[in-house]
Amino acid sequence: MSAALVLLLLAADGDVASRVQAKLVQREVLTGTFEQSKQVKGFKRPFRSSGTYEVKKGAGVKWNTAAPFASQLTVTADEIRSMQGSEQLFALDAKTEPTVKVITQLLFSLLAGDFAVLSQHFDARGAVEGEGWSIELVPKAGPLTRAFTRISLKGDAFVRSVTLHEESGDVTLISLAPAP
Amino acid sequence: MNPRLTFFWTLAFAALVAHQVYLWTGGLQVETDLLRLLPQGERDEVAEGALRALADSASRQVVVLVGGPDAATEAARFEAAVDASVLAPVPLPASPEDSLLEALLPHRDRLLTAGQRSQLAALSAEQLTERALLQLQQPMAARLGDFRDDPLQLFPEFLRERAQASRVRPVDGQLRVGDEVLLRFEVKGAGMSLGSEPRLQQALDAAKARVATDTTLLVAGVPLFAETASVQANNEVNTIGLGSLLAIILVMWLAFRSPRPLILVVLSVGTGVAAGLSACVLVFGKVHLMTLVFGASLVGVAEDYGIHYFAARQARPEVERHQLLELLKPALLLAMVTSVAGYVMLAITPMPGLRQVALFSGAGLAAAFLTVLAFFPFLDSGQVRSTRFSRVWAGTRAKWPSLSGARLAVALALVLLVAGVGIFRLRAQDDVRALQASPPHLLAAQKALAERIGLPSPAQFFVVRGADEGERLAREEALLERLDAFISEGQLLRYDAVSQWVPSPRRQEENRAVWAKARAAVLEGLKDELDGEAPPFIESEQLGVDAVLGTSVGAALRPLRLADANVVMLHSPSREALERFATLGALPGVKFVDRTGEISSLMRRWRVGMSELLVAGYFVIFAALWWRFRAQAWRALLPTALASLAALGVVGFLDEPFSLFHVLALWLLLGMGVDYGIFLLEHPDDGGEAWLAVGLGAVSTLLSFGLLAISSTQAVHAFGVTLGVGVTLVWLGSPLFVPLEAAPRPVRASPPPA
Repeated sequence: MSAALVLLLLAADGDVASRVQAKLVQREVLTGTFEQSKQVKGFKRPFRSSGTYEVKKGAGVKWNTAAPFASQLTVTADEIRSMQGSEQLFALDAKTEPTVKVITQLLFSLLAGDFAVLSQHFDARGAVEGEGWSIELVPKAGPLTRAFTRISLKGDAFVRSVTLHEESGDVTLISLAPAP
Repeated sequence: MNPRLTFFWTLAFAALVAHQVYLWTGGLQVETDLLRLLPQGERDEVAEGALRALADSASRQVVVLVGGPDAATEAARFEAAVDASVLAPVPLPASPEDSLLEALLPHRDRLLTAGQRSQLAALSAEQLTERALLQLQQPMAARLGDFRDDPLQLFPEFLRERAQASRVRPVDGQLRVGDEVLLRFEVKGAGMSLGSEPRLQQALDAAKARVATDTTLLVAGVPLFAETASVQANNEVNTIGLGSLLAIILVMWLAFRSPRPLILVVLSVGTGVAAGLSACVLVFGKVHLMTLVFGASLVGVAEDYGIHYFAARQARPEVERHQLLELLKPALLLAMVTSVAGYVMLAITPMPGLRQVALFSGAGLAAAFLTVLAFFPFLDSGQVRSTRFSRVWAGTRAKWPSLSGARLAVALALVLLVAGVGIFRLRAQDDVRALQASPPHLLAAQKALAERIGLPSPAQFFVVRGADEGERLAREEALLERLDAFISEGQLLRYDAVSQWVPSPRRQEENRAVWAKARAAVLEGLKDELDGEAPPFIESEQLGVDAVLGTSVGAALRPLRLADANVVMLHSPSREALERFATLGALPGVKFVDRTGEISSLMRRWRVGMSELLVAGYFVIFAALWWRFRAQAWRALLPTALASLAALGVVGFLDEPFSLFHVLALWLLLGMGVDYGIFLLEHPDDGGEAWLAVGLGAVSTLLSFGLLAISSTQAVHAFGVTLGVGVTLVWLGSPLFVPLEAAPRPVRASPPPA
């Protein structure tokens, strides 16, 4: 279920789906830089990290954090893997963990703009103003509610920001800067 | 002449007929589970309880693993296509994962995997802090709870690692194993009945025809093995029973050319088989299929008494028939007693199956004998015609060579030499796995499925006992640490144990201390980042097994937890590991149960023991013969002894695995073979009618027991080969040792009481 979020970070959809979709630039490979700011309950300041990302349509997502600690997250149809240098932090294999397959399928259908899949998991509300748009996703009853209360997306021709309101009370703001 | 015997036997016969009518109108319960034939093993109530629980859950389930490009759709189609009146789908438990999380969450500080414990001990405070932050920067970290409670996210990691032990996941209302879908079915209907129709296989094949051709299906389950065995045994019962009946009819017709002897002999045999069946049902409640396979061969032994009677009648038309029977009675009685004695030896073995066979055969022989004694003279009025076939056959007796002096010594030496070479070649085989005759495709599917979905070995496991739950868990943990060494050596894939989910109270306290220390280190390292005082470390109560039993893992844990013991199940243990596991029994409260190995060693002990006892058996039979024949007694026994050695030699030359069943067959050979010697010794000066009776009996015995050799069940086959060779040799060999001119009249001064 957690991987479902990744795709939400990177793909914007919603109730106003078709209008938003019309605005989004479709690319086979999408790369860019990100900044993540996570406000964790109990911390004085938000915890910040930054790095680059790469989305290959239908193939996978790479999320490379450069600072403060270098680490790489890879999501493909077959696995979800997190590495720190050569040390594997954790890995989920679709062969042994069938849910991985479901998650990644959801991810790719989202990236392909398959709103039917999205609406199975979220209720979406949104607004379009000029070039810009915003969408708010509320997970439907199910395992996703254990992780998130809601997810906000903002963007124009690209997704520009994702805000994750986690069940634990933590709030994560991810700003995306796609390479031109 | 004994009217009282006839009267009582008529009453018994009527009761028998009534019971048979009841049995054949639906009262007969036939057991097909081959495992029921195996010995209980050394009595260990706990281990037996664990085995029963395993067997019960497995004995009705059939599982199907569906793979292919569109496994989910094809699985649904397959499930819908299976005839639900034969195999009913087992429903999935509703929404399982939540309750597990809720059950464990309040106790999370007490749960660590072995890997986590060693890792937390190895990392410095700085490394722990860095690790916590590293996890925080993961965009997809699905955090559970407040960061300050579990900054290292130890609990989600514990859950993830535990969940990976099981490959079967509920997804979208189906059980998934990777890309494949697992379907579970339960056999419907009250057990399996004696049937020639493979109902389960047909239901599965019909469903198989409905799915797309590129779908792969792996089907396994105990009921499929039972069904195959049932269908197979059913065919064997028919073949052997019909074969031996036709054999009797043929030889009886050739010898007597008259319906009366034929009908009466069939009556005595039929009464014997019916009495055997009734006795088994009355004593055991039901009758096992294998007993029926053996029982069918009883036909070939039980007819001997009737044949002997008619052979004597045919040869001595001048003697009044009641009087004739009185003359025959001692020999018939001795023959019956020695045969039953052979079967009684089967009854003292630890195998419940053989006990049934012994009762079936013992009661059957006695009933056939009594039928001859009580009914024959009354029903057999008129003459028994002499036939050319009988005269020719009887005439060969006079021409048969006999051995004495130097010729006897040379013949003995020759037989002993040849048999000795064969016996030297014998390979003992006590492994029960090798004695099973399951079709290879079923075994292969079962093995592949066990590997894919991760089924533990059902026959090898550890039982851990302790005074209370806590001690059991602690002892189990000590065992698991030793098993971890086997896993890292590659001798064991993994294990299933209760303490993996619920650590012992002491281990829980240790985990809590490790957890608290790591958490404190991280919070101290992030002191400057944190806002004020961290909340106090969570207070938790001890986690009990009961709390987890109610969750989704409960189904997996319940078989591992007995009333007063825990069971540790093993996945893919190597042969070497199985041999070394016994040494782990030295750990307090730990016992290694190797069902397969146990039965195999039991088989070996009984094979050796029964072989030694067989020698003693020869002395007992010799004593019985001595009582009647004195110095001539050896003439009745030696042919059987030589034939037994020769039969063993043949088994050796055939390269067949030598097992307990061959030895048991030799016991039967002792009981039956001596009969031939007895009949010949009793009538040394007759016109060859005893020889005719022996020959007729031997031919039909051969046909019935020889047909056992075609059985695909190794044990039944062993009986067939041993008795086939043995009976032939005893039959042809007996007259060699009973020379017509030399044999004196047996002692008739003290005939046994009737």
